[in-house]
Amino acid sequence: MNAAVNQEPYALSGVRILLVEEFPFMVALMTSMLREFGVGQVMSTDNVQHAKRLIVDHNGGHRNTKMIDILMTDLMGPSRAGVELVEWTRNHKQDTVKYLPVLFASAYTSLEVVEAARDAGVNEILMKPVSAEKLAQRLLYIIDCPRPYVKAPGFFGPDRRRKVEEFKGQEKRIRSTEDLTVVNEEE
Amino acid sequence: MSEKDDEVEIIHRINHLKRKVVADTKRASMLSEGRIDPDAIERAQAVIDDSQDEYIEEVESIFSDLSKAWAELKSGEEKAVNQVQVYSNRITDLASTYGFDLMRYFSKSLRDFSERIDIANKNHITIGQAHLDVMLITVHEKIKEEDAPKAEELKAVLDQAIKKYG
Repeated sequence: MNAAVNQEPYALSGVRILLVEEFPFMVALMTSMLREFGVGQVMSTDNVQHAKRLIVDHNGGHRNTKMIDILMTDLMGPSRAGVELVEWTRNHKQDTVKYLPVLFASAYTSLEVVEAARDAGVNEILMKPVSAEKLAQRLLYIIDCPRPYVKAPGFFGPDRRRKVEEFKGQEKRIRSTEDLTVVNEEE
Repeated sequence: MSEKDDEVEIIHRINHLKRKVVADTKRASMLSEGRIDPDAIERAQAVIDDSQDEYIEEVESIFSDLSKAWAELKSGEEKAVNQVQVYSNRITDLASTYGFDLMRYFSKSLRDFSERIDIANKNHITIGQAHLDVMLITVHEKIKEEDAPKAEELKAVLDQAIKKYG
């Protein structure tokens, strides 16, 4: 991140968040918190199929003002439908769905769950319990530090490395430019 | 596998979201870090703090659902295992949000145990029941801290059950 900080706080009134969560108490709590942050619209559903329909309805066409800007999903119980939802977005043919930023919020904190979410292509993970500070920090990461997307055999999603550090050992990775394509999205 | 399949693509996207939230989309503003209004963060935290009173009522309601699911599980309903996981996860979520550490400890333990429970195994049922028993006392007595003397006692009861039947 850059050291410089914008003086004006972010204006979140134009932001639309889709919250996918089965637990009504948490839906109410998160919605109230996001509204206090100034988020313009918080939509919610407790059903992954409904979430997919909402995403397609809002983001299925060209970029527009009604688009969902952030998908915030829970693991969604033992079926892990939340992970499946993330995989579905990352495999979608429309860029406005495929690149939808995903904040994965879970009370399951095992390494296995975190790795499953990461490998499905989430942008950020919010470990519950939620505090206002943690939620704000994760939203700021999504806004300020979007990682490039990586399309590799067996993976599509945000670059899983947050830091780029110099590797001290013997270089074994293929470094030829022919093996790497850098794509910049056009305006 | 074709050569194309081996390729790695790195895709840089325009930060549309940032453009949406900054008042000034000049390069300097786009490159610098932003912030959420600290007063708004404080108000959002107050939402959690102010709803603390709802914890007891909510946890009692979920515990009642959990108890029903547990009764079904004991009667051999395989699908009740999922419900036990869902409700114990909800209690974990709730208890950790409001700092009810003892309840979080028991509910998380039950949630993790129910991921590997064999409902035909009597010892497993005994361990599960021990969780329900200590959780019931924790709810009724509104015990919050994990290191309170009564909490230590309840944790010891559960540990003994796990050691004996696990």
